[in-house]
Amino acid sequence: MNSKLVALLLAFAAIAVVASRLYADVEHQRLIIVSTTASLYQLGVLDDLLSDFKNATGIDAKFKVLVKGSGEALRVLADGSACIAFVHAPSLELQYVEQGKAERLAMFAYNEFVIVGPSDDSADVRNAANAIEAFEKIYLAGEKGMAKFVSRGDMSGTNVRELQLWRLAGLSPERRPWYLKSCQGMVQTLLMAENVGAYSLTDLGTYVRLRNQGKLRVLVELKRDPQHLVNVYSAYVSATCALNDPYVRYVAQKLKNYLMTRGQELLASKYGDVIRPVRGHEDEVERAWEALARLD
Amino acid sequence: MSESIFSITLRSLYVSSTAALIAFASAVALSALLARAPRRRAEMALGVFEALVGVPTTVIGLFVYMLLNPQGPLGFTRLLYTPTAIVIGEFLVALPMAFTSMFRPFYELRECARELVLSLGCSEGLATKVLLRELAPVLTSSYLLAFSRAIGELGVALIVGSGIERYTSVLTTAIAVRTSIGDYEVSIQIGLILLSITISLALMLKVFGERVLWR
Repeated sequence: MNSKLVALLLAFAAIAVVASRLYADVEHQRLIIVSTTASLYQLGVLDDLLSDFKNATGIDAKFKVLVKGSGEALRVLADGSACIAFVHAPSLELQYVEQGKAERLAMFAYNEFVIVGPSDDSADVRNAANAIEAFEKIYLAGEKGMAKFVSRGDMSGTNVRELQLWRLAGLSPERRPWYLKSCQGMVQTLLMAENVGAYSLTDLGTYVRLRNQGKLRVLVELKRDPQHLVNVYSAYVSATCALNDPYVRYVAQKLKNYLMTRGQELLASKYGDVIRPVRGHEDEVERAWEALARLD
Repeated sequence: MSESIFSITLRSLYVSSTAALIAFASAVALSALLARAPRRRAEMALGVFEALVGVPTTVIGLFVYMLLNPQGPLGFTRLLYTPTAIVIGEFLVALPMAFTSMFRPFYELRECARELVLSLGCSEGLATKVLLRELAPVLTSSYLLAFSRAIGELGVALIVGSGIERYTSVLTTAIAVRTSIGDYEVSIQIGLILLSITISLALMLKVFGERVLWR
């Protein structure tokens, strides 16, 4: 009888062993863990940049990409769990830089956030003078029961910007019945806004991609505002990694040079309006970043 | 985006069956240990594990992250964001499930089987054999529960594995990532694969058990 039980255990073990044989787990290459905000990954920008970086510099590192929101991406960077991060949340970035946990490599790209909403535009956002006034209009319409707003609610770069705009408008939508939090990624948030006919703040890239896929019928772009809605993407290296690991420091230095030279050309030629290279606009972007980082 | 679902499935099977197997073995050992304890103490221990069944996998994931991150006590092992890290986390997820589902029958049957066998004049060793034979269906169910819990959990895989393509991406994180980019169709497909794996494993083990173990 006992032998049958042994057989049972062996069967369990066999499942584990067979699967592990087929799947090679052991890897001893130089690993560099990169955390990134979801939008760069979803648009394919990050993969393009990293593989072109390896081609251009001949660096044979193996990049492992963790796809997270900017908040979590920066947190794992500060812990040293990831060594390089690509993010877009200036005020959070500044915190970590001031704590000495992250060093900026480059502000390498930017695009715009846009306010999207139902095409009938019950809050009349189209005619707002700027993003702040647009948010005021949404608030007023929301209080009258004529509009809803879907927020990411997840401390991502987009969410942080949205909260800044509410603060600039001197309004607090927290706990208002028309203010919904999706606590999910940009795509789900947009789909939710589409489904309930609500307004939302989104990065241009995700919105354009989703619209081109035919998944948005009601939601349209209503307001751009180059002054308040610039979205700056930056790369950081973790202070812990750079301190302890000369190889990471070396790769980070190379990456910094790459991002501001050949990487700029790649972005310009391939991504156009969706992710714009900063070349030629360095000062503007830097100023915008500074302003955004110190808004809190 | 480009890793085949097949290789993700293999990785998922490897990670979850390893975790479930370790959890299962630990649960058997734990049960054998606690079966000798007085009833009151055994009940207390069981109660604790019953409560632990409900701990969110995200919390377990964060706990393992705290241990494994470079500044954590086990940071030197450099296991964060490897399949092994997911195995550790899923082991913790599956253990309470495996233990609670086997312990009560284990405890009750142990006394009966022992009394019966000893009263028939047989040895202690035989008592263990009889016990294990009688418990075979329960143990199979326990393993299945542990495996299903491990392969179906998301919190641990997302936090300590992070769904790195070709490395730590498993079925549940693949579903999460593809859902986050609005690719609901592929997500549903992967979900169906997950379901068919767990159901077919369950059927296989039950048939195997009926034919071989406890007929």
